[in-house]
Amino acid sequence: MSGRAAELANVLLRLGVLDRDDPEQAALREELFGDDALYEDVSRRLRAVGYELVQMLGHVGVRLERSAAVEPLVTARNNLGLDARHVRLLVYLWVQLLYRHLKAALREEDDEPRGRTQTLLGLEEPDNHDDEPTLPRAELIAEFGEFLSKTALKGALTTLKKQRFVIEERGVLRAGPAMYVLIDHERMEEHVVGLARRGALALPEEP
Amino acid sequence: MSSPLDQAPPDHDELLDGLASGLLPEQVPDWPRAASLLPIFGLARSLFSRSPADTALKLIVLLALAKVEGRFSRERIRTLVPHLAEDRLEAVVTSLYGGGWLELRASDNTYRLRPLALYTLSVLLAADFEGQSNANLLIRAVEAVAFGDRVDQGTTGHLLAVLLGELETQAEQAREVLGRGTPRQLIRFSRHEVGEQIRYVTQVLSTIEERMDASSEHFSRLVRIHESLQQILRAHEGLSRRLAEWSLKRLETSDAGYSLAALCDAVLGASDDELVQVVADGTVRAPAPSVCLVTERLLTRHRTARPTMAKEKAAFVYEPPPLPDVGELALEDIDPVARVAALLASLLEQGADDTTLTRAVLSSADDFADAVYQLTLLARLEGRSTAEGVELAPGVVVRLSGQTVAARDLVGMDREEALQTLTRLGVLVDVPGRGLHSTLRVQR
Repeated sequence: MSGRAAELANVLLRLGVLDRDDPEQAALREELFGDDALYEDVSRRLRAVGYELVQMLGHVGVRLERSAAVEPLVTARNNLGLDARHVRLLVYLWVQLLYRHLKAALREEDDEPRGRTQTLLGLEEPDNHDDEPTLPRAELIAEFGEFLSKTALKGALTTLKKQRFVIEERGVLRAGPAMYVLIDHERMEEHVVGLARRGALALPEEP
Repeated sequence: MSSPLDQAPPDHDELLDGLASGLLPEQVPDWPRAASLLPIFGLARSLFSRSPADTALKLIVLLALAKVEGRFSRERIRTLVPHLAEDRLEAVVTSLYGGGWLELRASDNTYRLRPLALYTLSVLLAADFEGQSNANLLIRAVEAVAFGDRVDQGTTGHLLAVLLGELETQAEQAREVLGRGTPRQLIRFSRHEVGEQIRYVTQVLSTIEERMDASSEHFSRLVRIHESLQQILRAHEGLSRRLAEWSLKRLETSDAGYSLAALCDAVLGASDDELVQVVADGTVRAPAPSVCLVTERLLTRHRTARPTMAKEKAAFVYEPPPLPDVGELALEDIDPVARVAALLASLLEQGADDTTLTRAVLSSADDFADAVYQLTLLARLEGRSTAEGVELAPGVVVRLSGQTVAARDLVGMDREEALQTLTRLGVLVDVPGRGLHSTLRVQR
């Protein structure tokens, strides 16, 4: 099993997140979730090199541990190659596609009787996308009209799709696996609410 | 307040596609200078929309407007440029507006020449391209570097008019946002434009102070500038009050968390720096890139490398490498002892005495360590003479002079004492001008 754990850790490091819609990656996910000892072994191996194995609403992947993510990330251009335009789009999509979804999941989790497997830990989350929030691409274009041209928005959206933060199907956007796994949702909520509170209090920047 | 640089930002992804794989625009040496020129060339591009004649007509209109102060309605433009056919003039004005040369105020449908446009025209006119030789053009290019921002005193009135126009535009924008702005626009204005506009006000005031002595006749303009400043400040105060009224309660809805609309407005109203911080502090934590070859990157490299390689292939002229030295390898080429022996043998043939031989070997030494090395070579030569019967010439072998000194005899001595002992025993000899050396004796 030790060999299999090493293989899975390797695959997770290369892929970052497992795509539920990809049959091979879905099989790996099932294998991980189906064997607690294997899951723990993979998690331990990743933790030993500064990564954490994360599962969120049925998605699983690897992200840097907070303690390991200091210096390289404090740069204008991070290791994902996201500039301010991409980040604005990413945060906006997080609010639109995930914020309410996460809140609802947390509420359900609180309502569940103790002893039952927690929803956030994955397997009980249905694999269809019916209950996931979506956003029509046209609506996004209208919202970002005053900031970005259509071409620029298309470019930024392509980058986020490549990074698997967002998935587009027939002109409708939904959150991709990377948005579930690679984002620290508590901190993101703090950030966004902080922005909103500062906006409401109208604190001007220092000239 | 929008910067002139904001008007035509190039598409970042398109730029990345145009650069070699993995290269960012910021890493290209001339990128900052190119970026600073983009707004001007954005303006210039709009002049070449149809034909050279069209360009000439546009320039005529621009030059006419640049000479006159104030704002221009379509009627006033027709009066100022009566030489153009009316329908053509309408088309030219529309095109100049679309190209960024003119700015339209919606409240009264009047235009004004944008400051960047005015400056561009002034620079081009001042450059005086007509009738210049190549040498003159080069000299002017060098002088332009030191040109700076000299302004003719006679242009004070015109400059004040331009400042007033710019300020009125700012005031209009502030009023418009206050009246009809969405929450995100209010946030953006409140948090960014306030600082920018206050800075702008300061600049305007300092410029006015500098020019007050020479411009008493421009008093009415100064009064209007102050009015515009007041309007901007009042608009900002009203804007802050409106934002305060837009209370925190709007953020919170019953039990579903914060209002999505409020959060989205906050995200869209935030500055770039605030947003980049969201990722920079580790909220988004992707695994570091693994050491692997990604197919997509490989394809990009292939696509970008192929044209480059084709160009390089066309320019490449084959030059055969220089022929290697195939001369016979002598023992002296690889054995330093043999090299010393060959040197001594050649000197002996020329009739050199022992002292000359000593100097010939040791004078090439650069320092003490090198001298020791040379002595070692001589000692090895002596050893070969003894053990193997190697001769410099028939019947001639090398002997180093002096008594044999055991290393233990020198134990405990300092450097000077050791040198004196060796000199006394005849191992070393003081060669005038060359310092201490071991003597070399040739036994014939």
